Formats: sequence, structure tokens, C-alpha cells
Amino acid sequence: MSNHTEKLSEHLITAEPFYLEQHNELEIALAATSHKLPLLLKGPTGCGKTRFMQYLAWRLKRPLITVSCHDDLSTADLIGRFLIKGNDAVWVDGPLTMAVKAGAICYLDEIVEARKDTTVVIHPLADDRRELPIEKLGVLYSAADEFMLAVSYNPGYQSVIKDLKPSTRQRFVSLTFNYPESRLETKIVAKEAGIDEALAAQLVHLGHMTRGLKESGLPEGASTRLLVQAGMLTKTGISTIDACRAGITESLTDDPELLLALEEMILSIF
Amino acid sequence: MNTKTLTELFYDAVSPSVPNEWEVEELLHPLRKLDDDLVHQLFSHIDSIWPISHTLCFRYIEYTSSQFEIIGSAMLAEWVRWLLSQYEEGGLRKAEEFMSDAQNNFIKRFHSSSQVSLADISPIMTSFITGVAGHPLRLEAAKEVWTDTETIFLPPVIDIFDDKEVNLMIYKLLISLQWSLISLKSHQFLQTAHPANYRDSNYPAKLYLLIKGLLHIQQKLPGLWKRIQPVLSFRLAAEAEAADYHSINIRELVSFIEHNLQPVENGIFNELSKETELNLTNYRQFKKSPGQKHSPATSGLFTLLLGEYHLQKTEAKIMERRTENKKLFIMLLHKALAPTGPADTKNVPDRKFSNEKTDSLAMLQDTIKKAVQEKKPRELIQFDNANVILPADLLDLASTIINDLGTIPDGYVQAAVGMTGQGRMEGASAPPEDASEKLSSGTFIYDEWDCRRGGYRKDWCTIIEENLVLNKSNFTALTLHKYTGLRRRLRRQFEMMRTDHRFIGRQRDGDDLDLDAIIDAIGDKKAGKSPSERLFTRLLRNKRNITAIFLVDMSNSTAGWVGTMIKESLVLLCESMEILGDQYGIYGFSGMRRSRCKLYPVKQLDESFSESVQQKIAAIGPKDYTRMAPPIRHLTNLLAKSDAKTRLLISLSDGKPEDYDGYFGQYAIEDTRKALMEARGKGIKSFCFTIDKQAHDYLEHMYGRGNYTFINNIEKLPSRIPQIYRTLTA
Repeated sequence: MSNHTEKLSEHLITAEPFYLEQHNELEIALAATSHKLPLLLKGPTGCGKTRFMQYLAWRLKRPLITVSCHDDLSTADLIGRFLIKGNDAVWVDGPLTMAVKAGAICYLDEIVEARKDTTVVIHPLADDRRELPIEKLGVLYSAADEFMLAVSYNPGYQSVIKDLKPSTRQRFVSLTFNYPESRLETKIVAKEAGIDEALAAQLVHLGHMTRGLKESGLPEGASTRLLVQAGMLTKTGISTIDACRAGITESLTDDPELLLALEEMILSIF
Repeated sequence: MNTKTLTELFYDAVSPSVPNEWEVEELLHPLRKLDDDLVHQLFSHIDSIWPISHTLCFRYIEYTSSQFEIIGSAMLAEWVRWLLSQYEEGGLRKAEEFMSDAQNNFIKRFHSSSQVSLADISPIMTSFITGVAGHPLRLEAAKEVWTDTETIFLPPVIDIFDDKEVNLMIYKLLISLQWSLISLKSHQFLQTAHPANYRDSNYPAKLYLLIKGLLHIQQKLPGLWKRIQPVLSFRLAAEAEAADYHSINIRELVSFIEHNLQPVENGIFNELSKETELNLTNYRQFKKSPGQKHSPATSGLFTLLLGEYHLQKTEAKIMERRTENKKLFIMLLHKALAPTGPADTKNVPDRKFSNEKTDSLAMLQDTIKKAVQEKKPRELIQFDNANVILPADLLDLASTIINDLGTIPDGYVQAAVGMTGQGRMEGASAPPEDASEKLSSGTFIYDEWDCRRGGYRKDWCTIIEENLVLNKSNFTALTLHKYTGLRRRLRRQFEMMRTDHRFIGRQRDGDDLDLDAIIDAIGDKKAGKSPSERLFTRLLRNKRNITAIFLVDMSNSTAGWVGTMIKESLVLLCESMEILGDQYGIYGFSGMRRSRCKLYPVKQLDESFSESVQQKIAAIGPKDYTRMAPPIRHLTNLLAKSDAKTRLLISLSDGKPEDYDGYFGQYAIEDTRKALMEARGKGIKSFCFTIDKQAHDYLEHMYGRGNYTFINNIEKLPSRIPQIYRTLTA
């Protein structure tokens, strides 16, 4: 247990993460927490889902264990496995088990990337049972009161194959995220990138322009994260236009025609 | 190449037409001297010209073959594009005039270092201005520079300055300026604040708006403003002189405006909406900025900048949009308000509507406004003791309406609430279990959704499956030849998808040991548990379990280039799909009236990409109208029978659903939407490719967000369709 505590303490967020509330997401998340309900965060890439989870974890003073899902993720990667130590076989808890036992927040980022048979393991944890059966140990863990399950995904992915099963989806309280409105986004970009608000406002303006091209060639417009990155580049002395190219437009598309249109957007602002 | 071979090739290219033999022979005779390769290149464009005009095609061969050395094979496609646009502008005479001197009319102009044409910059600038405006705006060529608030009209060519870059800059400025005028609601200013003074020749009003537009650019697009300064400071003089405003520079212009429009600024102007109001601080500041005396002006620029205002046309366009928005808003709100179940009063304590109708209407209106103001993704309210969710598309539309009218008019909400009340009394009929009824072989009957009464029209449409007449042309071969480079790229990409090799662990047998599994097993064994036997890794070729049907619009609007591009896209798509191995079918549709909705099987699901399929693709041609829902319902039933895990219905369309018998607008869109929702209910995903510039207005409503894509450059269709299919199913 002490080993656990030690490991978990690494996941405890002590400094307040910078987060500005978009709507009432915090209120809903706190309400869900008090009723021990799991959370589903939906929203485009780079709009603040992960940051929100960090903020929530800090607010609740609970460790946050993040698992980035991918299609090779196995159930054992979540639950745990036996390992050999000297002549003994030692059971080592996976991140999910750790969180269940110690009452932490387990956040499965981009859950649609994981294979569907892997994600089924969270089902008994995500309803009122809040249990985690571990076949190999022959035990059934009841989740600690502070345990919370949160998953996220981006519904904007065009792939029809990557979607959540209704049986998974219908266990969660859902929070929809989007890019923050201009004033809020300007504040976020200015603070995160450490630039002045005037430049941040221009970057946000550029971000809005690129978002206008969604469905007209771009699968997604520039995320807040990209705007922050471009802002950071300018701080190190790179010219704003180059920073926008490298930090925003080139990361959005490879299409030469769209790149030219995006270039025009940069030049129209800076 | 001898005349006989040439003739054969030609007949192949124009098939199924059979032009006079003697005429053809005479035409092709001089071509004997040309290289085989050149002949193939020359003939590869017949397909795009022949359907437009046979005579034009004859002239094309005649003039092109005699000037091939001047034009060169690299420029041939461009040459064809130019001659077609000449034909569209001025008919055969103009096209012939153009073709008669390739050196002067084409090569020189093409290589002219200064000229910029709208056609060249349109795809990029459309994306640019769409991004800038945040909503789609179109660019179209016209004699005057003006906008109807949805389309910006610009001169087809700008060749004012010696430097091409500067001419391009002028285009950017004109486009941005017209966008500014839309944002500033300039038409409203001219109509409401200044109706008596406004005349076409009224320079003060136009000048005033020009300054306002420029100020708007200065504020919103400072980068463009900075770059345009050297050009702007300035060449207005000569034009201004002609208008008797002696050597006006911007500063003088401002003081002139100030003087002339004093009453407007101080009086009515103050009452205008916030957007229309001139930012006085900016205005004064602008006045102080150093105005430069200028070099002699270049004729025309000033006129272009001033632009034109066609208030009636603009007003008509705005009214049309408002009517559409109103209908859609009423429909969406009505749908949202339709009862879904008893209210859970615990969850929505503070938005309860009283039974007093007027109160509840006003509250509903306020709630919508508030939700829009707070930019909520959606809103849960209680209405008539039922829980109601105001969905995102409704709130988006409400935001557009508020932006336009300043509020949601009472009538909109009343109409929706009225419809809901009526609907409750009548009760919406549910769709029957199996909407189709098979009549004879190849004829099927389907219901149609009537949004006005909120129910189905029973047995309303007849789908007739009809075979296309095979077209024995070398269309496929030419297409494959034309896109050699693209094909190579697509092949590589699709091969990579097919051979999505990955090692999967924990297999009972395989090529290698799975170290993780072995560690687990040893651990388990040591711990006294029975270890797993799954200790191997195996290279797995991911089995794609996908069935897709492509539904191709064959309405008469696809005539000409559009149709050719769609056909070329299909050829490339088929080739890519064959590499991938997904099961796929292609169906064309068109028809006239509900009793004759025709479906043309081009490739059935179990058919291979055979010679006959290739001939059927070549035979795809423009037919009648676009009644889209019946074919969707029919193919949904077909796909529903497939046991593939992922079933896709992908439409290729060039416009709104429309038919001859009053099937258009809201009704048609709602029916198509309903058909797509029925498909979704049967586990079929739908996606749409469109080249309709107005697609954004209705496709999101029909297909749902993210389920369609607009391709603004038709020439990109052949590369975009396979690429997006790849993304969709990756």
C-alpha cells in the first residue's frame, strides 16, 4: 500500500493548473463527482479537455492517472499483471486498479483509439456497481469513494469506425467542450504562451479564420493549443509570421491550395 | 497514325454520337502528321468539349492541331479551359476568335507577367474570405465590383499595374473590402439612412462607405492594410479629377466626406446599428495619418474600389435568406418542442413556463436569446410540462437570425408553437416497419416524409431500376492515363491501408514469442495460477469489414465538366477500392416526378471492376432531377441486408434535392434528412461530397455536422474523393 501511496503521490497535482471555465462544466463535473458518476468529455482536439481534468483533480485534491489510449492497449495494461521478482511472482496493479483502490481519478484519454474489447473492462466501474473484477487474482475490488472514471474523445474525427459503443457511451455524464469564446481564448493564449493580450487576440483572430474552413477542406480549425504554441514561438524571437506558419498552418494541412489560403490569412493579420 | 486509326479513335471518343464520316475524315486528315502521343493528348479533351458543342469540338481539333507547337502539351489542359470559358462568355464566334491566334490570345496572355485572373485565384481566395468571414462567401466574375451579401462579384481579370503581385493585392483588397461592406451592413446604410441621397452617381455616399470599409480592414486585417498601403497612397487622383474632386488623397477624401455628409453623421447616422456606426476615434485618427500626394492614378482602380451597389438585388437575396432561415427556424423549433415524454421537473427547476400562452412564448423567446448570448452548445428547458432540448443547430440558426434582425421575431416562435400544438392533436404517424414494397422486378415503392404535416405520405415514390446503355469508349483508359501521377500516389496510400500490418500479441500460435505474454505467464505460473497459452505474436493483416455504396447524382445540372469530373473520380475511386478490397457498389440516380425515380446500377456490390462497369461509368450522363430520398431509402434497404460491420452510404452531389412536381426547398431537404435518419437507424453511416457552393446552408442539417465535405475546386474531385474515403474508413 505504501508503494501505492508513493506512486500515487506523483500523480497528485499540487499547483493550481491555469483553467478558465467556459460554461458550467465545473459545476456539472463537481455534481457528478458527488454522485460518483463517471465523466465523458467530448470536444475537438486542443480545446482544453485534459487541462480541465487536471484542474478538476487539483480542485478535488485527488491524484489524476492519465492513460493515453491506443489500439495496442490490452486489458492487462489497464488492470495489472504478475511480474517476476527474484523467485517470486508479484502482482503489479495497472493504472485503473491503482485508481480504484486508492480513490484516484483515472482518465482514459482518446478512448475511441483503444480497441472496443479493451474498453469493455470499464463497464462495471462506470455504472452503479463501481466494481473491478480481477480474474487472475480472483478478487472483486469495490471502488473507493473518491475513485472517479473519466474518458475523453473527439467526435469530430471523420472515421466512421472510431466511435463509442452505445453500451459504453450510455454510462457517462457528458460534458461538451468547444473552443472558448474569443475574449476567454485570448486570455488563455496570453497567459499560457506568456505573450501580451494584443498579440494573443490576433492569434485568436487567425484561429477563428481557420475554423471557418472546417468542412471546406480542413477537418479541424486551429486548436487553442496550436495558438498557444505559436505564441510561445514568438517569445523566443521568431517572427510572428514564421511562428504562425510553423506553429499553426503547417500543422493543419498539407494541401498546397489550403496552405496558400491560410498564408493569406496570416498575411492579412500580421 | 493513318486516317482509319484516327477515325476509330475519334468515334471512340465521341461515342455514342456518330458524326458524318466525310466531315470527320476531312477534319482528321491533317492530323496524320502528328505524333501518336500528341493525338492521344489532343483527343483526351474531346470528352469535355463534345458534350458542350460538337462544332466547338471540331474547331478545337482544327485549331489546336495546327498550333500544337505553339501551345505545347503541357499547356493543353489550360488551353481547353480558356477556350471553354471563351465559349461560355461569347459563344462559338468568340471561342473561334480566341483559338485563331494561340500565340497572342493565349500564350502571351498566359505568360503576361502582370495579369491576374479571378479563375486562377478563386479557389484560394474563396477559402481565404470564407475563413475571414466565418461563413461561406462565393466569388464570381462580373463587370462591376459589388456584393449581394452571399457572393462577391469581381472583374474576371485585373491587369492594372505592371507587377503581378500588386494586381493580386488589388484582388485581395477588393474581396476584403466587399466583405467589410457586408459586415458593416452598407446596404442598410444606403437604404435606411440615406435613401434620398443615394443614386448610382452619388459619389459622397460611395466614398463614405469606401472609407468606412477601408477603416474596417485597417482594424480587422492589419496585415493586409499594411501591405496595401504603398498601393493605396495613391493612385486615386486621376479618377477623382475626372469626378471633379481635384487631386484627392485619403485625407482630403475624408474631409470631403465629412463636409458633405455632416448631416448624416450628426443626425440619422447616430441611430444606426452598432455595426454601421462609424468608429469616430478611428475616423479622426485616420484623418491625422499622413496623406501622401500621389503619382498619377491608374484608370479604373478608383471605380473598382468604389464598387457598385445593387440594392434591390441585395435586398432580394437577403429576403430570400431570411425566408429560408425563418422556415428552417420554425421547423427546428417545432421539432424541438414536439413532446418526447413527461417532464422531469426535478432537473429543470427554474425555467418552467406557465400555462399562460403569451408568457410562455416570451419566456421561450428569451431563453433562446439568452442561450445564444451565452454561446451554450445546447439548452434544456421545460415547455408545456415537457422537457425540451434546444439543439445546437437551432441555436446556431437563432444566432444568425439575431445577428441579422437583432432579435428573434415573435412570429417565428408563435408559428413553431402553433405547429407543435397542431401536431399534438393530429399525432405524427410512425414510419412503417418496412417502407418498401416490391412491385415487379426492378420497381419498388417507398413512402415520402412530408414535413408540413409531420408524417409519411404512404407509397408515394416509385423507384425504377434501369440499366445504363453501355458506352464503348476509351474513357477509362484516358482517365487512367491522365492521372498517372495521382494514381501512383493513391495506389501507395490504399496499399498501405490494405496491408495495415500489425503484430498482435497473445495468440495461440504465431511467428514470434510475445515477451509480455511470456512474462505474464511465468508470473501467473509462479503465483500458482494456470498460465495462458497465448504466448505468440502474429502478423495480422487487418480485415476491413466495410461495405460502401456510392450514390451519384445524375441530374441535368451535372452536364459538362462536372459530369466528366465525377466520372473520372469514379474511375480512380474504383481502382483504389479494388486495391483496398472493400465491398462497394455504385448507383446513379435521377428522375422526374415521384412516379419515375430512376436508379442506375453502375456497379453492384458483388460485381468486380469489369469492362462492363467501366463502360457504365463512361455512360453516366446528365438526366433529369434530383429526388434524393427514394434512392437513399432503396439503397438503405440494400445495405441493411449486408452483414458488414461498417456500412456506408456516400453521396456525390452538385446541389440541393429537387424535383419537377413541387419537390424542392424545405420539403425536399426534410424528406432527404428523414431518409438519412432512417438509414442511421438501420446502422448505416452516410456521408456526402458536394460541389454545391451553397452546400453549407443545408447539408449540415441533412447529414449532420462533420458528415459532408465541400469541394470548391471541381478539378480536385478525383483526388479528394479517394482521399476522404481513406480518412473515413481509416
